This record gives sequence, C-alpha cells and structure tokens, in this order.
Amino acid sequence: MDYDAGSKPLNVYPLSIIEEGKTVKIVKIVGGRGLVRRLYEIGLLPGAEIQVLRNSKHGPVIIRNSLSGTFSLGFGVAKKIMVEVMQ
Amino acid sequence: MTCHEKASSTKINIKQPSIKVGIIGNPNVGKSALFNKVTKGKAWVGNWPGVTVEKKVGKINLGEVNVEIVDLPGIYGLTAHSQDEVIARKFLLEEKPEIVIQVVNAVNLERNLYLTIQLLEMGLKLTIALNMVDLAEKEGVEIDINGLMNELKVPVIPVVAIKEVGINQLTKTVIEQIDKPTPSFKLDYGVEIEEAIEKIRKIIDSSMKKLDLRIDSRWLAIRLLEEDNDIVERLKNLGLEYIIRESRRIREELEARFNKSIEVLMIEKRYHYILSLSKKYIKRKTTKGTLTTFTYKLDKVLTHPIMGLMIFISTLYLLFKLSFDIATPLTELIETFFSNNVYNFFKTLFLPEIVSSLLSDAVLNGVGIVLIFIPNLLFLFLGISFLEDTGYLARVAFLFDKWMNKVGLSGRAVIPLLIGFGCNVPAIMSTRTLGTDRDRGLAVSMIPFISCSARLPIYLLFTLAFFKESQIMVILSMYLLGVVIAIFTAILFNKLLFKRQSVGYVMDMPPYLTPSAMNILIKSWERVKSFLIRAGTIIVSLMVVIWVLSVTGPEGYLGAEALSNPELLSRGWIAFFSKLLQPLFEPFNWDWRIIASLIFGFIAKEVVVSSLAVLYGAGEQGLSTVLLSSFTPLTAYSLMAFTLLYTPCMATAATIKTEIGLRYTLLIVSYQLIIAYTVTYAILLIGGSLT
Repeated sequence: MDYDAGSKPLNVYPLSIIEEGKTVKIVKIVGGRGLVRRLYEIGLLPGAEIQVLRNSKHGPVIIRNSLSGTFSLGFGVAKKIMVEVMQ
Repeated sequence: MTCHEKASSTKINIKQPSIKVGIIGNPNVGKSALFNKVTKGKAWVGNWPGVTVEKKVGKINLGEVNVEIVDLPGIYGLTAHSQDEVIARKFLLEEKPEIVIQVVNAVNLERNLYLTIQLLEMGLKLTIALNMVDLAEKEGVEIDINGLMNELKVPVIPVVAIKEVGINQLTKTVIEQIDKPTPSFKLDYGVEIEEAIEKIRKIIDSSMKKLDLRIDSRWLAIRLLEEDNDIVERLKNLGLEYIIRESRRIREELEARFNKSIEVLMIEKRYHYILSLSKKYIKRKTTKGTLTTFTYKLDKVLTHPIMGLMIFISTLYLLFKLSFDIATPLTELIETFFSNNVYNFFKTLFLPEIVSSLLSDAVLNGVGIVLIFIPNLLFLFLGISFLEDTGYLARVAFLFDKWMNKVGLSGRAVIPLLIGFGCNVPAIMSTRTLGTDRDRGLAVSMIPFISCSARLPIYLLFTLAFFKESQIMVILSMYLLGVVIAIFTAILFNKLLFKRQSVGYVMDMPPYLTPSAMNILIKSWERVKSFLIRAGTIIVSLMVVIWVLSVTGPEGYLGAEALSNPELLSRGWIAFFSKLLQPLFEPFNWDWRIIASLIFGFIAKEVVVSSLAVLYGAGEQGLSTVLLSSFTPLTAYSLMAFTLLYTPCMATAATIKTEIGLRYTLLIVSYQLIIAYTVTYAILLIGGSLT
C-alpha cells in the first residue's frame, strides 16, 4: 500500500493527467495532512477505484466512486492523487 | 425576530424541561430541508460567533419538552480542519447538545458513515435520520435498517424530508431518547493502537477527575493519538501540557514501529469498518438506477467545456431577464406608492417643518430605499436558490474553477460575481455559499467594482451628453474598467491579507434533483428579511445623518428647503466639507459641487446625477445642457470612472457590514477611495496628454 520514490511502479500517474473515461485505482496521496484526511474522509483512499468523468487538463476533474458518489476535485488536488490505470 | 415571535406564539413554559438538539450531516444530504420541516420553517438566522458562517436556530415545543434546534454546517468529518468543522466541533464540545440528529443520504450511505463513527466516538447521543429513502429504493440501494440499528446501537429513522415523510417518527424518537443512557460505541483499532489509546486514556482519566471535564476520555485519547491541533490547544489552555507530551511520545513510538502515520492508519481502520457495515447491511443492484443514469447523461452536456458554457450563459441571461422583468414593475409600484401616498401624507400633516422633513426626507426616504430592493432581491434569490437546489451550481463551479483559480478563488465564486452585474447587494449576500472567511472576503472585495444596473443611468446620461458617437464603446469601457480593477483587487488582497492559500477544493456533485418549493421560498425569504432588518437599520440611520448634514451648516439650521435650493444647500455642512476637500481634487479641476454630489452619491449611485442637477440649479432634464457648458468630455469621463469605483453605495456597504463586519467594510471603502482617486488621476493624465 505504501510506495516510496525508489519503488514507484511505472504505470503510476497523477490523476490530473488521466484521460476522461478511464478507470483508475488510487495508489497514494502525496499531499499534506489536511488534504490526505479530507480525501480519506470521503472514501478516496489507497485501493479505491475511481472513474474519471471529466478532466479539463490544468483545471478540475470530475470523478466517480461507487460508494462515495461523484466529486469534483481542483487541479491542485488532482495532481496529488497518484493513481494506477486499470484496464 | 422570529425567535421572539415564535416564543410568544407557542407559549414556551419556563417550567418545562428544555433541551438542545444539533442537526449535523454531510453537504447535500437534505439537512436544511429536514431542519425546515422540523422547525416548521421558522428559524432565527444569524452568524456563528466570530465568523461569517450562517447559523440557524429554531425553537419548537415537542409534547412536554421545549427543544432548541441548531443547524450545523455541512461537513464530512470532525477533525477541526476547515472552518465549518471547527464550528461544528465547538458546538458539540461546548454547548453539549442533549441529542444530535445526523441526517444521512441513503443513496450514498457509506460516505456518511465516517461522520457517524466520529460522532459516536465522541460519546454523543445520536439519532440517525436516513434521508431520501425513496430515491435509494429507486436507485436499487437496499438498506437493512434493523441490522444497522442493532450494530450501531442508535435509532435509525427512514425519512423523506422534502415530502415530510417520517418527520413525526423522528421527533418522537428524539423525545424518547432524552432519558435513555448514551450507548457506548467502541471501534477496535487493533492491539497496538488500542494499547496506546488505553495508556493515554489512563493519563487523561487521572486529571479529568480533578478538572471535572465532561468529555469522553477514550475519544480524547483517540484525538490525541491523531494529533488533533484543536484538542492540543484546549489542553494547553487548561495547563495540561504533560498529557500532550506523553501522548506525543506514545504516538512517535508507535509510528516508529509501523513506519506509517498513525492518523492514516486509524482513518483506514474506520474505513474498513464502514466497508464491513456496507457488506453486511447495504445491497446494491448492479444495474445503475435511473437517477444516476440521468445525472450522468446531463453532466455530459452541462460540464462540457463549450456546450456547458453556452448553457450557463443562457441560464444566467434568463435569470437576470426573468428576475428583472418581474421585479421592475413591482419596484416602480413601491416607488410611486412611496412618493405619491406615504411621502405626501407626511408632508400634509401639520407638523413643524423640521419634524416633517426629518420624517419624510430622511426616515421615509431611507425606508423607501430599503423597500425598493425587495423585488429584485427576492427574485434573484429565488432563481439562485432554485439553481443551487437542483445541483446545477456545483457544475457551474466546476466550469469556472480553472479561471477563478487565477485570482485565488474557487469556481463557486463565479456566481456572486456575476450576480453583481445585476445588483451588488444580493451578490454580497450570496457569497455565503463560499464557506470560508477567506473566500468570502476576497469575493466581497471584488463585487463593488462590478457595474451594477444602477450605474447604467449615470453612464447613459454622461455618454448621451458627451460621447454620442461612441456611446456603446464608452459604456463598455466602464464595465471593463470595473472588471479589471476587481481582478487586480483580488490578486492584491490575496497577496496582502490572505497569505494562506486555500486548501485544494473537493466538491460534491450531487445528483440532479427537483428542488422543494418550500425550501427555496424559505431560503430566499430569510435572505431578504436579513437585508431588510439588519442592513435596513443601517441605511435609515445613514439617511438621517446625511439629512442633518444637508439641512444644517456652520450657521445652524438652514431649513428643509435646503434639499432643493442650491443657494441654501451651498451653506450646509456637506457643502462645507466639499469645499474643504476641494484642494485634494485640485489636480482634477473639480469644483466643490461635484464633490458634494459624490458625497450624496453614497445614498445610491444614481443620486450623483440628481444632486448635480440640484447643485447646478438645473432640472434633471436640463442637466445635459448645463453639464455640456461646464464640463469637458475628459472631466465627464473621469467623473464616470470615479463614480464607478469610489465607494459601494450605502446599501452595499451596509450589507458588507452585516455579512462580514465593520472593520472590513471600512477597509474596503477606504481602499476604493484610493483606487478611484488613483485611476481618475491616471485617466486625466493620459487623457490630458492626448488632447
């Protein structure tokens, strides 16, 4: 569950660059304490599968998770969520 | 106000037991709809102490018990990180409500359960209102309510707040809970963490007895293990540093062992527990429900970068058109009623001239100014609340987030700013949805520079007289100047006042729902009422001050005639101050009459025009001719710019004062005066060098 810089797998990207329509799995959140907690609280924690509904590139993204529902995340937040592309 | 009305109408008996109930929940769970149903739409609306977040309190009588119901801000957790969380936490800890009702959304129940766990760990007596059960059923979500109730040991009442289903059952349950003991709840964090919690709890317990704190010590231990800043501060204030030191040592030891943040570990434990609850008690059909599909399809269009923007512009146009089309005749009706009937009635009374003028020219005029706002405010608020409750505003926020970020705001701020083109007053009031003090302060600093509809008549008058050929371009340049200064202000204020960048934005996109008419009406009326009462008082008092300064001067009372007689008016205090200020405006080549008109313009921007007419001894019809003979086009243009920028009108200033506070209002007014002076100076310099 915990990745550090040395063992970063190749197919892990920030959520902000993921194409619309892709389903991804959260690997790690690299933000500060406040952000990590906030995302965890709404169910966006490592292991959660999310679908990218909209990505305005350099702007906010809209994601969907079957348990939490739909959320819009600012660009700054999306950059800090490291995800692994499924499929 | 309603608070007192309510108290008298339901005859609250002091001998009856009274309890405090807090209503809490995630955003978009129908919390305010439930609050409105339980309090029957009557509530006192104010602010939480020290902040600009709205607080709503309702008082009702349930059988033998007086109940004070407090609506808490919508939050996801209780970690006291955001302003809303701090407010909720403070209320729960300090005001110690007897019962807490958590409104949860049955469609996304899992997401709500995180807050449930935190509330239970705090040792609160909880009742869960499982809202939107009808929607959940349609979406194929099946919830085993009894199973959940037995596991959590709290009552779970299915309700449909907007249809008033289950509300009676809910209030009945709340009353039954009063005398029942608080059930104990304990989530198992695993051997190592439990040991640590136990160690900290023992330290706390020994001092708790001395201090007589009525807080659950296990909860306190958990919070300390998660390094909760608010709790650390509270213990420091009590002089309990050694508890903080000890718990820090225990945490660091544990973190070294796990090589991971304990806080993260604990949140993960809670989530695993939620997932286990979900597996046991919540069943979802694999096919998606109609609402999810509908929302998904609509979002494809409404959040589309091009189509979404076009639809938004059309919606905004429609909102303005509808609200102004309906409101304008009503506004005119209020205006004529005032000037023809009420105003003249007072004039005909055989009162001494000074009293009659004070009542009609100052007090009634002020009341008139306040009442004239009602139609516009009401219809704009109805429109905004409708869009908000359908879920559409969340999409608009998404569309504009990228652009608004450039001035340090989130996408949500686009709505108040655009409303500002209609009227600055509702614009400032609608910043309430922005949440944090920082975002509100920033948006409020921008709004007065947005050209509202009342500024258009000034532009029209001046452009008709001086810039007939290029009228539209000149008017557009005014609008543009306002927007440019607004953006500049946001960047400046963000740098100087709000050094801390806002935490990244995470916003719920609720499914599209048909809003409840009652909710929209209540929400809009509450805002109009708050303007009438709170801003209204300030406006009427300011009118009296301006009246006194007009009809009296260094030589004493001049007579009510001064208001329409240029010769008398020039001997009043306002003229006196204007003449004092004249050297300051020497570089502008403005005479004192312009300065005096600008002072009167504080009442409302369009008053600048009528005051110029009085002071130059011309009727409003003949004003253009008089202006043409005494102004150059450059003076006219610079005066237009100054009028746009120099101060918010009285109603706007009063609204900023009631919404944010006096100090911020004074800051904004002085800042605007400086900006207006600088920009006008620049215009005159550039214009002078060109001609």
